[in-house]
Amino acid sequence: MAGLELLSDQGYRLDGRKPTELRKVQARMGVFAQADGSAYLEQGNTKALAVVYGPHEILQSDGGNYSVCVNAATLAVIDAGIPMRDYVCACTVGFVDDTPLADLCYAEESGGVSSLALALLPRGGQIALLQMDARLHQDHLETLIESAMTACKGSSVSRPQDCVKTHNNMGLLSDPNRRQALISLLTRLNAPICVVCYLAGMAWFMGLAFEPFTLRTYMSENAMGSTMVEERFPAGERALATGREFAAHKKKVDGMPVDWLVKTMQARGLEVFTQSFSRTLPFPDENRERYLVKGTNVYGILRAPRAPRTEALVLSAPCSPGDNNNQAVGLLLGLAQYFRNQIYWAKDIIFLVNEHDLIGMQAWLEGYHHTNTTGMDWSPLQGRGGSIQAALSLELSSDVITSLDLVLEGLNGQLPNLDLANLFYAFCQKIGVLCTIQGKLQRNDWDTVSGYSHAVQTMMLMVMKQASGRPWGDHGLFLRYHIEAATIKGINSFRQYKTDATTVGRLLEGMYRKLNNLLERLHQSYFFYLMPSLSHFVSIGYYMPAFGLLAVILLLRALDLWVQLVTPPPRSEDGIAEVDQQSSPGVLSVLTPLVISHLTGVALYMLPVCFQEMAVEHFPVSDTEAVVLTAIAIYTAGLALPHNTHRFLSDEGTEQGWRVLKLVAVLYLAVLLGCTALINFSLGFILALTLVPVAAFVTPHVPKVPSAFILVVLSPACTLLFSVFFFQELQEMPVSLQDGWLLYLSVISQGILDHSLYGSLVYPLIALLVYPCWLIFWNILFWK
Amino acid sequence: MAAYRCSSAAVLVILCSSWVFLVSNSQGTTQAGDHHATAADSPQTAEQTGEQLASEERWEATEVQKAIIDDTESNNPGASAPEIPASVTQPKDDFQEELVIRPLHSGDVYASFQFRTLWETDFMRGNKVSHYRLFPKSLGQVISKFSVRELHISFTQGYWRTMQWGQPFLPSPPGAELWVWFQDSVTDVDGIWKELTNVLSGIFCASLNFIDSTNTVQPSASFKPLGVGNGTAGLAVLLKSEKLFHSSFHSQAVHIRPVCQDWECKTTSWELRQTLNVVFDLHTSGQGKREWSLFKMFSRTLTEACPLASSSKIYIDITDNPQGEQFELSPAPSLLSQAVVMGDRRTFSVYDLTQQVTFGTVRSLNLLIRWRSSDGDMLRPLLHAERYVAGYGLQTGEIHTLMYNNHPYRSFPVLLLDSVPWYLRLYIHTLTVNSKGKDNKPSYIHYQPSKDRVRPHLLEMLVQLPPNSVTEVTVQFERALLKWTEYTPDPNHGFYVGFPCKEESSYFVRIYTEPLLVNLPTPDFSMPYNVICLTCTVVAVGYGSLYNLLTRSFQIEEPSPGLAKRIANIIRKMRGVPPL
Repeated sequence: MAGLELLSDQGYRLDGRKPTELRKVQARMGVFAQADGSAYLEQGNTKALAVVYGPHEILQSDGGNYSVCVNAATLAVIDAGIPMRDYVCACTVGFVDDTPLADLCYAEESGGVSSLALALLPRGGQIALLQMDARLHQDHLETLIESAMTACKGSSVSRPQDCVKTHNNMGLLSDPNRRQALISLLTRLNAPICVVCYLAGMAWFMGLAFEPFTLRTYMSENAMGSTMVEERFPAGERALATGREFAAHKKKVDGMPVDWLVKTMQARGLEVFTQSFSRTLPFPDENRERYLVKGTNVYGILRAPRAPRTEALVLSAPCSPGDNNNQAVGLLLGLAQYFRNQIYWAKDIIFLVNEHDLIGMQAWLEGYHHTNTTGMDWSPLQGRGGSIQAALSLELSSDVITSLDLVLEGLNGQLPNLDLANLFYAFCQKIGVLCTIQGKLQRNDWDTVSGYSHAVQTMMLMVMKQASGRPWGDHGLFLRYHIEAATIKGINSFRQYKTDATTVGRLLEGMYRKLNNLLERLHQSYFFYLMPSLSHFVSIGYYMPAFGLLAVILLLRALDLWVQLVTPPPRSEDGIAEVDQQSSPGVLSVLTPLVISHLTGVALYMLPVCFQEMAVEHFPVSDTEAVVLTAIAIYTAGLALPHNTHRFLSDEGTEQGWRVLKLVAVLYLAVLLGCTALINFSLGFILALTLVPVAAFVTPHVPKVPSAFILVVLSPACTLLFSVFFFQELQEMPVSLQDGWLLYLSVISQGILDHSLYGSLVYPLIALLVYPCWLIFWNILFWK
Repeated sequence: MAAYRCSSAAVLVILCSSWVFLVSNSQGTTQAGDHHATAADSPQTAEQTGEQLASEERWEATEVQKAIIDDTESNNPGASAPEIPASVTQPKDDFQEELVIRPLHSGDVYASFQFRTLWETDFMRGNKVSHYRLFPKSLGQVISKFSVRELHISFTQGYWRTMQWGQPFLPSPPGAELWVWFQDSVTDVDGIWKELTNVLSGIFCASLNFIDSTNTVQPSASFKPLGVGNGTAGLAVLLKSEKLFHSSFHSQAVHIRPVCQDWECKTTSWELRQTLNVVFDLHTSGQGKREWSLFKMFSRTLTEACPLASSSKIYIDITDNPQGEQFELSPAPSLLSQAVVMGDRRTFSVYDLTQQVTFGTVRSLNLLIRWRSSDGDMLRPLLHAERYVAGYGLQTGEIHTLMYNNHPYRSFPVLLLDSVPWYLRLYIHTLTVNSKGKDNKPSYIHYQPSKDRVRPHLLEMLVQLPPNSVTEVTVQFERALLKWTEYTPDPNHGFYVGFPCKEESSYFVRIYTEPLLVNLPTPDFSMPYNVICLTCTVVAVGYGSLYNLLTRSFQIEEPSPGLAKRIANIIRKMRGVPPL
């Protein structure tokens, strides 16, 4: 036979069917609501649509057109409810190599098979139609008709079931009716589902601190895990003496004793360099009493023997005003001396004493990486040690300590790799030093209420600190440069158990030796985590559902709004047209509030710093107060501004108008919170906790006054206010309302300063995106 | 003719190569050294150990040799050593040793060993050389087979700290470096180069075979052949490997080149120099005391000259200490010599180990250098350079190369050679050269762009360094995404970017800067595991069942027909009637 081999030796056909096998039949009835009866039939790849009042139509042809059309027509007639004696069913058969083939496909039809189309009334076995175009030997005709009738019967057997199945045939979503049902269910139960989601999200979050739900920390990095390191640092006392010497020199020069530090570091065999920097703050910082900051960083590099200067570790201690951190600098110099005499270093170690804490650190890091993100003036660095792999910042203000506290939260809520915390914890365990996180010891009584609340407290403190987006120690600025860093703080409380400087030195020695063993950057463990205690952590996979449950509320509300928008009101005949008519003037009414609230956001972002001088001139306030109060004023003014404006530009605000606006706002908020939560979970979660209810319930039809009150209470500024009180409460340092208010003002000024000094993104995020988004909801409430 | 230079970039290569080579070679030299000591005392021992190393056998064979080759090499301190005309040299090969010790400003000590073998033979004239005595056969075969004109290979651990130590006698970059000049007769340089690196990796037990076209450059201007030079002399010293590992800097190198036999340079002989440069650290090796002795450095003293070497001397650099105000030497040196090293006239105290007087009455030489002052100020070397990557994030960055010229009134022309791997896409239009805040236009630029996965960027520039200035060369780059199989086994370590080097031409200095470690965007390589375990589970269990739920039709299964109905159906089937 020319062309295709229609029947294989094994007796299978082109498409793998057996000779008598029919193609897959899929039928759907009632596809056209307007027609009296209609049917859609798929038989293999041939698809036909039959409508009882009109002509039939072949949608796609793959052989057996005639018979499929007959079948479709039958179904359509069934659908139309026309009484029939029997269902007509048709089938095409062919004849190849003495084998009759049922239900030909196009390839077979065109392959030169003599084909025969037969329509049958199956119940009585009567032939309604018999048509054959090709030549066939008479002897074969009998078998062919026989097989055609069997095939017809075969397809008719399934027909009544098909008919029953018609509405069942599709799944939930592909079936329009069921989709409708699902959607109406979601619409009807929208509010309860949202409430349940919100409560579930909160419950999930609170559950995170429950110890059985958390994971134990473990060292992921092999290079740090198995290698044995012996700590031998002996010279704690001498280090403290150096610290006292440093304190004396610091007092003498009233600031950083640069020359003394350079000389001391040089005597310890380090390559010593200095970096001077200066920075003018956008407005005077009253907390730390600084405006024009000038300082010098001193750092000494311990060159690792036989190493090519490609990698470095950093140990830093801030030169703080007053009597703070002298012991830290002493210990740093003591460690430098001890480290210098060891031969095992594979990475250069940089000992850095930075002035003006974070500003000095920022200058040094920018100088080291030769970037300038914040417009600071610094002199270029003369010596470098390659790419920095890890850094620890040491804060120690007493000769003996009771515990060491680990600070992880960095700029914009970035955290160092969890292995750094694990390393600290492992050495604290090994050496026997009490260690804390968020100043909280870990407890073993997780199954008691107080144990659980202790864990919640620890975790909430971490969440609050992370959400603030500010660096909580000098380490915080390293994280931007992909350098894993943490701050270790010595705490001296009234407990009996004391640890001396030698032990702290041994702990640091152990940590640095392990970091020195690293072959790769710390990357094995988690970068996104929360810690209810030092020995347990919650990974991103566990805490994200809590946020997800809150975010899904926004999507449900959006779905609800969408449905309301596309569903025509019952009275109208032509819903789609009406919606178009209603929402087309809405474009302006949607765009206007969006633009205005964002302009208000821009004003909130720009004006406080720009107008501080003018404010100081006209009002009896200090610079910091001027900035903060201007910010609050603009924030409050924003409430009055936008909600009336759309009426001037467009005419009356329509029902559809606010729905479209709210749909946009809800989706906007969902995207905004989602992105924030990915980068800084804590911030995203806290914002979601307050903004999601706002987004969920606000409509123009709710009672105005109580709603407005709720809206204001749940606005970003009030969230911050509550957070301040809550944070103090968590720290077990509750403040009075008056102090809380002052603290609140200083937190705002710190936020603005953090943004301009270190590039913290929380202030612009709130001012430029979150606040305008909230304003839109405010606008919806007062929609007219 | 083409110079091929490679700085093997992969960390694996660097570490493996230097370590393995270090072990093998230092063992060789140590044992050879041991042999000197024992050979005089008990010849039996020598015979027993004589089987162990090829080198020992060779040394035994040349016991009688006494000749000294003339030494007039400018950059070697042995320049003014006693000269004997070359024509006296009867044997065809010759072996010399020397140790140069330079007490450094910082209190550290720099020791440079040089073992030099000269062989008057010519591989290139077609005469097959099969008889080897002092010259290693393996290297000789390499030279003749691959038509090598010059071969320089170095394995270095550590970075030479120019700021503290001044200029080294022989500059070498951290890691491994191989550069070779081939004879004119070589046509397929790429093929020969590949073969050569593979052979050398076998000889030196180093992963030099990782050197391929992606990390090799063919410089247009720099790395000119050192040329047909004249010989130098040396003296033997003992090494102890374990002490060498406690040093700050450690570099071993093999240099092979042809040298003239006479003034007219009609015939050349082959010179093989094996050098070992070590810097002992004041704090780790010297326990912080500014006092150095041979014993402190090498854990042993000298008792005898090497009987096999034709000359055997120790030089101490006392240029900064003419009157002994900085440090004192004991025993007091008997001989002084001067040489010009890199444009600098330097003075050396010489201890000739071939003279018994040197060993004194105790028959043992333990040179002692005791510092008088203890100021360890940093040097201001005339020329030095540093390099770093600026910027953060994993997308773009900027390579900064700083070249310092601290000379008060002289400017220096400097040839900068920079080879950057292809996965850093250089934006060459951002190339800037700045001196003293002004644009400093290079008088010669040769730039060969990279080809992905084939060859690196090559940038050569001739820059004039103004006096007392810092010249900054910056160029921005973008980090390429590698294919996941192209990452090294330790991708989060970062990728090494070779060190550029500067050649100063008026007197030849080569300065290497530190290599860079650049992090490329690295995927999470545990991801395949996560994908298989997590995603597949989620898709199969979660999504799969949800999808099924949403799209599949469910229907009530009719209860299985009763017995009577089944029998009836069987009968109907036999009758050919559709079942009930």
